[in-house]
Formats: sequence, C-alpha cells, structure tokens
Amino acid sequence: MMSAASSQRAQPVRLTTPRFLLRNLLPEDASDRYLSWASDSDVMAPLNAPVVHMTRQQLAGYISSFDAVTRFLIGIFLRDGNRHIGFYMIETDPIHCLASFSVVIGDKEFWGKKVVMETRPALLDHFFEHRGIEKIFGLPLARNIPAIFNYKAEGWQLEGILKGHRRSITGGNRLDQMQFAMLKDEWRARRKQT
Amino acid sequence: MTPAEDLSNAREILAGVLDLSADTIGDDSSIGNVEEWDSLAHVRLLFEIERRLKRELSPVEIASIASLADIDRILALGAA
Repeated sequence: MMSAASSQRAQPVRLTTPRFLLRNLLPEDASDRYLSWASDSDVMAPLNAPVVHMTRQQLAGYISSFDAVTRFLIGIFLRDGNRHIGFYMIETDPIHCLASFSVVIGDKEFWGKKVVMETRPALLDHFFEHRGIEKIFGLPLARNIPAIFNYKAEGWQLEGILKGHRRSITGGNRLDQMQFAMLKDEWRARRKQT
Repeated sequence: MTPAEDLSNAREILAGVLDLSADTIGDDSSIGNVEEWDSLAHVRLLFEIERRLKRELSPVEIASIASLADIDRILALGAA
C-alpha cells in the first residue's frame, strides 16, 4: 500500500508569507546573485560546505536535479520586488513520511531579520498538511548558532547531539551535529497555541 | 556559585547584546517574548557568555539557552 506521500505527483511549492514568496527554483533562477552565495565563505562556513565557483549553466543543472517529488529546492523571494534572498533544500522519505529541512539565507542584509521564523512555518504547514509528511528534522552543526536559535524559537525538539559526526572542511577536525525534529502533532498543537 | 536571585549578571549580559536597558528585561524573558532577541543577537549572546566564562560552551549548553533563567544557570555552572 502506498503512503500518502509516495502517491503524490510532482507539484511545485508556491506559498506566501507577509514578506516573502516561497516557490520551487527554476533553471532560469541561476543568477550571478545566487552564484555569489556559493562562493562566499561567510555563507558556506556555517554549513561546513566548501566554497564553490560555478557557472550559471552548472547552477542551472544543479537546480534541475531537484524533482519536486522527493527533493525540493525552494527559493525565498521578497514579495516586494521579487529579490531572491535564500533557499530551502528539502528531501522527503515517502516510506517513512519524513522530511529533512535545511535553509540558507544567502543575502546577508537579511541575516537577523527573522526570515526563517516567518517562512519555515509556512513550509511546515504545507508538508505536514498537504504532502503526507509526519516528521520533519534538521541537522545543524553544533556551532551553527543562528540555526539553533531558529529551531528553539520555533519549538523544535532537540533529539540528540551526534558527536564528531562531520569532518571540518577547513581544519579536518571532527564536528558535533545536532538533530532537531518536529512531529506533525506537535506542530498542530503549537499552531493552536499561536 | 549559585544562580543569582535577581538574575543581575544574566540581565546585564542580555540587555547588552540586545542594546536594551536592563530594566526592560523581565525575569521571564525568553527567545519567544523579546522582539529584539533574534538569531544574530543570539550569536552575540553566546560569544559574550563564552568570553566571560573564558571557555567554549558545550553543545549541550548551547542547545539549552533560550531564556534569561537559562543564561543565569549557565553562568552559575560555568563559574562553579
């Protein structure tokens, strides 16, 4: 028997919040602006991801690799002016009705502007209520303090600390990682309170 | 060292990183009820706690800080 999630066909995400539009990225979204984030160590370091220098064509190919069935690359755009400021990468496991979330705010002008606090609830609502997902988790590095702040402020539960789970791309030392999670029932209960 | 009954050290640190007057920081202040407490302020807060304790916070400590009372507890444990 197929789960609710696995029976879905590819359907792009398109959601709005007071300040932002969230929608699946398209190959034509491969801009110099987007490319600059991948080559900015300030943006990539908290993710323990290497700085990369890609062409627009390579970035467009990367964007195309997300199928909007189980892998989603969702851009965050200003509703006022359509400026692209960041993105979510979401991968789902239809068998277990799980989804992993990660987010990058590439535009530094929006760091500390509560972008994640405004946008992620819309995505949680969507994936829990319309995509058959029952549990969502995130895996920030233990020193990614802005990410940890956002998880705690949204009421995600810390499920564990994975000791030495990643190798630093800069120093080679082992890095701790945290697992935060939100269950569908927990999210619904939290939504009722607010 | 035990947690300060008046939370004075924690209040001073939090007010400093939020650029607020200490008397505006209530005893129940937390990441959910102080508008100025955003992700960048949280970075400044944890760095200031580490500077005062003269050591890095552990992942467990980092994950536990979400309120004025949490800051006070970490300061007390760190100085023990």
